[in-house]
Amino acid sequence: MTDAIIVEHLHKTFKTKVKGGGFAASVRSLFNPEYKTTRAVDNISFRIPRGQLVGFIGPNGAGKSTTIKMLTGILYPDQHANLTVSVLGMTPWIERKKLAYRIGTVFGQRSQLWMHLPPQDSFDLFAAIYSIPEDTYRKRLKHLVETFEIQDLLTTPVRKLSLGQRMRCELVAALLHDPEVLYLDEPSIGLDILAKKALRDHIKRINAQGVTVLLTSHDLDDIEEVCDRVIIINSGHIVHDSSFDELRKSYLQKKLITVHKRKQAKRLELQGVHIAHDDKDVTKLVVDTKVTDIHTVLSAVAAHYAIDDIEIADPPIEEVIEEIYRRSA
Amino acid sequence: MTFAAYRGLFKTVVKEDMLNFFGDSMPSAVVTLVHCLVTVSIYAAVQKTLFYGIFSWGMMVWYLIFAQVILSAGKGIIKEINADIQTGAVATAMSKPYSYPLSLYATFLGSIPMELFGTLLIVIPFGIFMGGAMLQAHAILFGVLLVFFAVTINFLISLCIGMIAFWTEDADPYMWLYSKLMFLVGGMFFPLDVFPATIGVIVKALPPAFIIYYPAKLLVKFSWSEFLYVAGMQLLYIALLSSIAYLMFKRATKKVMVNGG
Repeated sequence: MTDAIIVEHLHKTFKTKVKGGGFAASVRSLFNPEYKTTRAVDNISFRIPRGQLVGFIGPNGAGKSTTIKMLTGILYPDQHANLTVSVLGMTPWIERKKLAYRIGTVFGQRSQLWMHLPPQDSFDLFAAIYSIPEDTYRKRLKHLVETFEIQDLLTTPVRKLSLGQRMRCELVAALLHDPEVLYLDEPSIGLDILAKKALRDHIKRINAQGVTVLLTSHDLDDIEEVCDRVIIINSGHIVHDSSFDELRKSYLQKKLITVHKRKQAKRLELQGVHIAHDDKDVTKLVVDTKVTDIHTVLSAVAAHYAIDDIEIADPPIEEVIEEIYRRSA
Repeated sequence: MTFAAYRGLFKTVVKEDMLNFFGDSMPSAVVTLVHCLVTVSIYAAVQKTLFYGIFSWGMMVWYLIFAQVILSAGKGIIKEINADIQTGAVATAMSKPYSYPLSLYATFLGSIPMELFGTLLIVIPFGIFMGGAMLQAHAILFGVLLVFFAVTINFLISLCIGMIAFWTEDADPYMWLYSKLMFLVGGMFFPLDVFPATIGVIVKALPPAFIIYYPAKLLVKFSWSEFLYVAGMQLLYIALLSSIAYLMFKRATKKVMVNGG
């Protein structure tokens, strides 16, 4: 299988002006500005074969978005002797416009749709931008509209759509020109549980059609549901790169269960289960799945509490990274 | 990258402006009318005879109206570039297979038709009422070409100033300076003939004169020789400023720093 993305020795530093608070600091900064250098991406290397769905995760400020923006050609990396970056055989920042025809992007925090116009108008514009022949465009749009179930949204101004509805339209916009690589930068940010679930299903469907997907998120659940492989980045470094199963076996032996109760109950006593919080309405349990498997715990929880609602989650990404560092130390 | 992309952007902006015609274009037209009203009233009350020998009163009224109309065209472009850079929206624009500066030009041109339509709708009756219906068809016909070149020069200067934000993250102070320069040496409130001969020669050779003074003057007082001179100079400035904008953008792309993720 050939590689869609090759990254070797990628670096990016940003220089930002720093200034203390107050008027005197402002005056000092005027005549003697001070700068802080931030290593947003610090010597990372990885390869992504064609058709793979890779989760690129890390906490805020880890360097995920900066990496994606260098892979689209928007940002120039720092020049480095051994630097090699190739996306579909092209160097992104040199062949940015040529590459743009073959990649799709969705930035969760920045819409590419025109807010006051209905999505149909944005789609027509993208067809013109990507020089899609009229006939191909009509067929492809029809297919995408059916796949993403946005028939009823086509004529509603984007600003009136919910976040989940808008995200489905963003995906359609990113896929109109049939890209071979799709970058999804925090697409699930701000979505509710149902919208997240629908989005994950759509991402899986896109990948099943052979599109290489690089998905950034700081939500491990996003990655667990859809990705073949997970790359964890922190402070500009890759700290882990494996399949999700391996990550789970190595680092995700804990599950967090939140039980919303209808009535007060005695403390649940079970091996491998630690009660992190308990009041009359909510109990939070931390389960060590090495000691007791999750099915046993859930059965015990169901029998023990009068459940109103229940949530199961992985530990936050920060805890996983902490654990990775702890073990490597 | 094809022309269709830029035509598509132009059409999309026009569509959006049509939707917002009464909420956006018309209020902006009213502001232009107020500016016209203020300047024309000042001349009517104080200096009605100042430009006699150059312009008649009717010509003066229409000159001031055209000056305001030209200047109001697509005035939001610097704000847009500033906002694009500060919010990181530049990343969305630059991930598309087109030239970012040309996409801004298409957006800029697209923002003109509805705004111009709204403005003309209310300033023409005002002009006829104050100055009389004294415009000539051929002056309008060829003057429109000069106005097109004029707004293009204005766009290119604004683009260069806006791109300063790639280095400083805020180009507003520079834009403020530029707007004051237009006020003083562009001919916004008075024809540049008011300057003494030596200064007048310099002022009339600077780009602001080719954005406001000459196009507005030729729209009301057309002459072939001056038309050819102005069109030639405008094309020269367009070529010069396009080259500067191109070089700036080439350097600016290496400076892109996307804020906020």
